[in-house]
Amino acid sequence: MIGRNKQANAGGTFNDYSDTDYSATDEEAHRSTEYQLPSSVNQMLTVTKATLKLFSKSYTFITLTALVLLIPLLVYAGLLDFVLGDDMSVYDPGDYAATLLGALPVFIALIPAAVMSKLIPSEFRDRTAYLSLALPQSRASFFFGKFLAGMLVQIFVFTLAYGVIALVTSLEIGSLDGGAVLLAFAITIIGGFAISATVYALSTFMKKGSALLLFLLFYMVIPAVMILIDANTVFSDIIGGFIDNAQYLPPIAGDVATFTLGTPYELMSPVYFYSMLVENSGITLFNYNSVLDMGVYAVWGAAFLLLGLYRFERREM
Amino acid sequence: MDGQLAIDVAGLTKTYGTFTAVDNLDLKVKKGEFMGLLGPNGAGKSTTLKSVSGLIRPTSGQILINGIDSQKNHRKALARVGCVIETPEFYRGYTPAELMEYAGRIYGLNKTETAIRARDVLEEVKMWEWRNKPIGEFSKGMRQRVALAQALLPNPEVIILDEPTSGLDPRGMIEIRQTLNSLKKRDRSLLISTHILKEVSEMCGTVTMINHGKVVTTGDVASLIHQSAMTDAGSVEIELRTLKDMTPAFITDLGGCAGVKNTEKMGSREVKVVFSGTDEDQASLVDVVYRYDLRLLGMTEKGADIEKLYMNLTKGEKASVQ
Ligand SMILES: Nc1ncnc2c1ncn2[C@@H]1O[C@H](COP(=O)(O)OP(=O)(O)OP(=O)(O)O)[C@@H](O)[C@H]1O
Ligand SMILES: [Mg+2]
Repeated sequence: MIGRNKQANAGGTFNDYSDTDYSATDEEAHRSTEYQLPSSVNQMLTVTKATLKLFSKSYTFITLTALVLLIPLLVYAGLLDFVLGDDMSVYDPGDYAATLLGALPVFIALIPAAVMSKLIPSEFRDRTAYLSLALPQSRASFFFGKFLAGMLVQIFVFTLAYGVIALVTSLEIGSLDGGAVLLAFAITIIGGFAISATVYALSTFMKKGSALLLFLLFYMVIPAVMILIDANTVFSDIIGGFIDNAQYLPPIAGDVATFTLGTPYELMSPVYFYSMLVENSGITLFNYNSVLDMGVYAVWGAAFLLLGLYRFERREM
Repeated sequence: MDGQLAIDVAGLTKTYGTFTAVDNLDLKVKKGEFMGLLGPNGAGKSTTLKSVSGLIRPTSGQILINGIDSQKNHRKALARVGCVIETPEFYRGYTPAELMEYAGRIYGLNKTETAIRARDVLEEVKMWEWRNKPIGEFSKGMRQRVALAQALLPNPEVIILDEPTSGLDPRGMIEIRQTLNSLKKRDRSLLISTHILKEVSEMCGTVTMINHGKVVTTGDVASLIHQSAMTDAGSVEIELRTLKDMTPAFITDLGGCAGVKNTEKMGSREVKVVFSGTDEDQASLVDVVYRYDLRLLGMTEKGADIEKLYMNLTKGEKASVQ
């Protein structure tokens, strides 16, 4: 009934199993397979791997990588010369790198929104959860496995970005302070983690998981609320220098990371845009505590991850 | 292990808002048993199977799979279970081979084991040729086949299928039935919901009929069919056909047999007997045919099929019978 012979097997390929010239007999194939359920961590990593494979076939990943590679392209196309003037030698490498990172406040919200917002909703919309969640794995390991994959993609993109920026800076101006680069990178990743966890958690409540909506929440809504609170003297009098506390909010992590490297010529920060619109709101982020900030981002992220897990474990198809 | 239940559902209730989709349902599948789950559209079959496979949370009730509470420990309870629930999809860019690799790793099969099993199951569902093509390009029936292969991959002890042959071509349906039937030899348990009554009569030993989320009847397929063949007075109609013409004396003798309530000659070589006796009595009808040397051609219990059973049980309902 089940025709199985060596020739057929030798000719056929089965992905990376093609090197297996093992060919089962009917009895072997029909014996009672004894296998051991892997650990939850192991299963989580399987989900991570499967999700990464999915990313490798998607446009999100390619687009983000292309955006990062746009940085040197713009620099060498002369865009910075236009902004900064021809004489680069007056620049401190830190300030130059910070200027190259000027779009970070946008990307620290945009990248998590693009990478994380659809991971869970699409499982339900495309009905792929019908298969995965009926397998012997806990919902928690599935949830964390997919999140981990999303984080790895972002770590790749941000590493590439910092690498490109460090390289361009050292070629154009001079070498950067390695410690400052590492610190800025850490702030970016942990801030990105907090935003990712929030996006991921909120998406478990959503049918579609709109990346745009979640991006705007971080890039516009949260900073706007902050500025409004600060501009309102009644509030400022009560909580005093609320904006100084803004550094603890993940959407500001991009600003904090940039200032860790140096003073940027221009920063695409929503906080700056708004403060120009609203009187009485000068914002300085120079008095920040990066270690404390990272601690707050980490706790924020963990809390939202747990909220997301709580919701995901109860979600039905 | 003998006599233990593969699936034990007790008092399962699932409500959506004020609507009760499954209402205090009990369902027991013994090890080695194939059970069919029948019922009209919206009866609660999928809701029941989704609860068992952990896709939805029951409002109340307990579900044990191989004795393990599936709500408390989904992972362990489903370790030896293969499921296909409502034509699942897989990531469109994935190929059947990649899907098998993923499922194999979740179940804990090693690489060699996965390779052997994947080939086996993909060949069984006739999808081996397609193993390296993206699933997103497959037709519905092809995706259904791949889903079945995935469910059978770990050589599961318990198989849970929700309309597994929907979208399959006739040949595919027959082949899947053969594949599943061959699992009986290996003492597997099956819980299958379907609208194709033939799947129940040809595969399942027991059947549970549900409607409005409640069990209407449950039991052995053969005896339920026999019961359904009975008319309201508790008798069955038996048709006898012979090679030689029936004489009036024969008809009279037949009418005198134990259990025979009435006889009606349908043609020169055919008679309808309204009968409500024991199996022994039924056998003696045949003796009469031999005594008159009429050469028996056939003896059929009229209406003794699963369709009649289904129609009886869903009387007054808009039953959906394919
Ligand atoms: N997510 C949901 N929200 C609200 N009602 C639901 C939901 N899922 C199912 N139902 C309702 O529960 C009832 C049972 O649905 P179910 O899918 O279990 O039926 P079924 O027996 O599988 O039907 P079919 O033969 O059509 O597959 C239906 O009336 C359906 O409308
Ligand atoms: Mg259904």
